[in-house]
Amino acid sequence: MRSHRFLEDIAIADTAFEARGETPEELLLAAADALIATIADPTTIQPNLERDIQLSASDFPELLFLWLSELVFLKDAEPMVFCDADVSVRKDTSWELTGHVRGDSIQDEHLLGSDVKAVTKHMYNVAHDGNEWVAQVVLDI
Amino acid sequence: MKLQQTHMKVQEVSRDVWEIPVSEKDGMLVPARIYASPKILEEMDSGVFEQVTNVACLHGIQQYAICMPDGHWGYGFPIGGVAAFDQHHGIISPGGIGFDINCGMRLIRTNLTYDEVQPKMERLMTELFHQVPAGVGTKGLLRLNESEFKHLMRDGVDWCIANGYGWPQDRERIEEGGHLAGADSSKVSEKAIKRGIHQVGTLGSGNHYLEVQIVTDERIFDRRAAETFGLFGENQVVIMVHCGSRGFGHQVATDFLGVFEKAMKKYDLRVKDRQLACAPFKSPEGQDYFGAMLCAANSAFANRQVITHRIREAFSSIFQKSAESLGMEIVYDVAHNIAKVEPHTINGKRKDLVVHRKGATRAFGPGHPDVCAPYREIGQPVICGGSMETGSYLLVGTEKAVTETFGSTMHGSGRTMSRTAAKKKIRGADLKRRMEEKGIVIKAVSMSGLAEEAGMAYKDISDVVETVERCGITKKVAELRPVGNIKG
Repeated sequence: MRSHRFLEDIAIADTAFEARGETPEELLLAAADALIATIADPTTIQPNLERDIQLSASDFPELLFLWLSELVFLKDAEPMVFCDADVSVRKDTSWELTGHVRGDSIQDEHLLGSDVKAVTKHMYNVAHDGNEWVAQVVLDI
Repeated sequence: MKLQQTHMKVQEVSRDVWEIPVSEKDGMLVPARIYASPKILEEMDSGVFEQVTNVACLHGIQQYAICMPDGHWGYGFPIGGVAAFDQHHGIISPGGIGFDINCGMRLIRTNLTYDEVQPKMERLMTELFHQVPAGVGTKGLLRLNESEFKHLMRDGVDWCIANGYGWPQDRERIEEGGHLAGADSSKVSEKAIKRGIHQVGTLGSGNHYLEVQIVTDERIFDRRAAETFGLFGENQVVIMVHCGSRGFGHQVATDFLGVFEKAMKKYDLRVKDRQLACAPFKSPEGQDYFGAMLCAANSAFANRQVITHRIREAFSSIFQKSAESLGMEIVYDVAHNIAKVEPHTINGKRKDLVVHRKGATRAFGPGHPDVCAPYREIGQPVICGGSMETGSYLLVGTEKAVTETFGSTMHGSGRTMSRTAAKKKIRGADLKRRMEEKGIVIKAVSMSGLAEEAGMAYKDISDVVETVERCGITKKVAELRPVGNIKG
């Protein structure tokens, strides 16, 4: 089961969240859910665009950071807002990610939120806690 | 967490100036100084004390690590942070500039009074909302190819004026003329270009805004300075713009934080916080970042310039007069997230320092050679944005700021409540209604974004302004009252 919750007291000027998942893939998707919901209400967005993402990192915390940063990049470069994503991860000598993100170019009917500037490493933490992967992430707004 | 929750010794060295000595944290090279009234200091989050003392540990820092009264927790540096580094032996840090490189404020005057504008306010705000796109991922009305965007990032406002998006006299009323030399587009990533190329002339979201304001007679505090800056009171209408380098600058910062994390190992630099990742200023990595950062800074000046052009077009269309005849000159444009090489006097010797201002504004005083000729006798205008409910201030720099704070002062009111907490306290639609009852016309892309920016989420800007005035690092010129606001 993946989940996320927004944290009130960590980032006064920005947005912080905690994401949880039983596997690395679930954590990547839970964190993406939080980021996607910060940018716009995903229930108002149709999957009319899909973009492929391939990433490589030396460790899992860096992979999560790159994954979220890639979504922030696509938000501006396409530009697009997102409704959902899927992802698979392979760990070899490095961590390899193949993902897809779906969404749409910005339309009047989309319920927009905050324009995320960046994923930060302030209080950034990724840990395997018992049976779960847990991440704390602060987004610059 | 507040002042009483910090373990550090914080002692008042002069009225409203507080010092944390180097003995309070291992590795501090200079004391930290916080400018704050006792009330502001008491309410400051404890992150400020940790962060400003972390900054005091950075290599090559000069005199003090400083935090202004609008200070609050940031990434690496606190917001409101000022620090200057020896350019030969010191560092440069993206954490001392912020992700939104050259986020800044611009103020534009008009000859119009509110009596003339009020009947057309709704139409005017609708036109401005159309001309200046705001919100998540919006594209600007300007279409540039990559070559043009590279020229824009190299030449800043000069590119805009050459391409019909400004008047020749605009440049002298912009910090650094809106064109910082040394911008090197070869140091900018393809990703940064792709993020920013469509966003020139856009506001963004968060705390960015375009606001129509009025200058009342009773809230002019220094009439000579106000008149020099083109403000005459009598409910004169002015326009304030708060935005930065958009996705382009955000990507430059993201790219180089990664570069600097690796460079720190190479140069054996250790910092107290990952977001203080840095490199020696004169190292290849430091110089590459500086060249790319200046591109983003120039693009932010250009962004505010294109927005100015659109504002002039909107006013011209609604009032059926040319922008020139409406007197729509720029009052000033200041950066409040930037690092620049500036000469300052340290222990009686002139030195070129890498001055980082993050949520802090340059505030050069009367007679300073870098203040433009029309204002040199008075000092540099300082534009401070308050919350959209409470108003903003125009201040002027002082000689004391130059000698005491590397020519720096506050930038705004500073948050006290998180975005999530603000949204729980008020709905965007209710806030919009409340502001409209006060006579403020609101155009917002996102109602949740509007709620996040409610006045209750910010310090009282007047307390902050009074503090910097008592400290002598800026003087009040006029308070500006909002009558219309556009938010992303």
